[in-house]
Amino acid sequence: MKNKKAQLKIQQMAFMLIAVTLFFVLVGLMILTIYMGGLKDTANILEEEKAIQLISKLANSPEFSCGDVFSRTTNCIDMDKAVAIKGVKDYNDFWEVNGLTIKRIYPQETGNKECTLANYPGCDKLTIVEKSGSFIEYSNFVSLCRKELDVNQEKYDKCELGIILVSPKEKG
Amino acid sequence: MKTKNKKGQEEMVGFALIVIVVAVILLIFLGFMIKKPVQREIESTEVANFLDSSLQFTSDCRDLGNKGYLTVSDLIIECREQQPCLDERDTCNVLEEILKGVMDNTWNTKNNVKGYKLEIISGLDKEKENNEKLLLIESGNQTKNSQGTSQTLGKDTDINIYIKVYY
Repeated sequence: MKNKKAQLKIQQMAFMLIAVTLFFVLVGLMILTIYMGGLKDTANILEEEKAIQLISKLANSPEFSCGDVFSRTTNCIDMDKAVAIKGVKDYNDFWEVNGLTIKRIYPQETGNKECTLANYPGCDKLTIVEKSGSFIEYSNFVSLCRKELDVNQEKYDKCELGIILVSPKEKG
Repeated sequence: MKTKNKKGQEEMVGFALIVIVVAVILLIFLGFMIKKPVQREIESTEVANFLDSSLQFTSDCRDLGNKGYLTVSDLIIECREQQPCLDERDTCNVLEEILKGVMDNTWNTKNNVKGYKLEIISGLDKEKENNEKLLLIESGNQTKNSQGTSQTLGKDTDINIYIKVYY
């Protein structure tokens, strides 16, 4: 009788220990899930920031940058240069990207009309690299600058708001 | 019989105590979890680049000295000085029209954006109370998740531009 009571007590204790352990495991799992969720968010933000920096680097390359021609130098694309690059096959693999497009955001006048040497600057979109397939696209805001003639036929700098869209080549 | 009852009562009290302790720990834990994510504002490179590029936008407003067409950053300074364009248009109106168009075309077309706020303030008071508000453009809902940036115009001015995009 006494033995049975002791066994019951041991069983009770074992159940209690299992319950307490399970509880702490569950709490630990919950904390871990929340912590890992935060890490994933941070990783995504960092990846996006990295892509934006890559695009900035691309926009500031000699092929696109405004250089000393315009009053600003960073995140500024010389559209007169960019439109001349379009269609040049040597540039297809030059930047190691799957896609490279420049779009005018404001003012949008032609509803995403593709730029060619014939219709420039009366267009909103300039596709420089376009490879077939679906790729992740990153974007960054830039100034799209060009030389314009005013009413007195004098040259002046005209900058508009644009976006550069890049699909980087996946490594590995 | 009496001792058996007492032992049962003791076990129940013990169990109740454990339940209470566990509940208190859970409550404290939950309290911490709920309190943490009050507001999340991220300084964003994307918004900073947007502001930087928008400030360089060339308007169709010529300055009175007929030096050329004013950029948005020039327009902000002319607006504070209450200087009109060469064609006598109000620089503040031109500035508002451009920035409204720029903000709408950029952020209202994005699916995950709930709203935006752009403020241009002249003055050095950090609390913004005693400063002059040059322009305020708002649209949509102001949620708790936002990305923003601020920029001081030039080196010699006290004009600050604040942008917040709500997600």
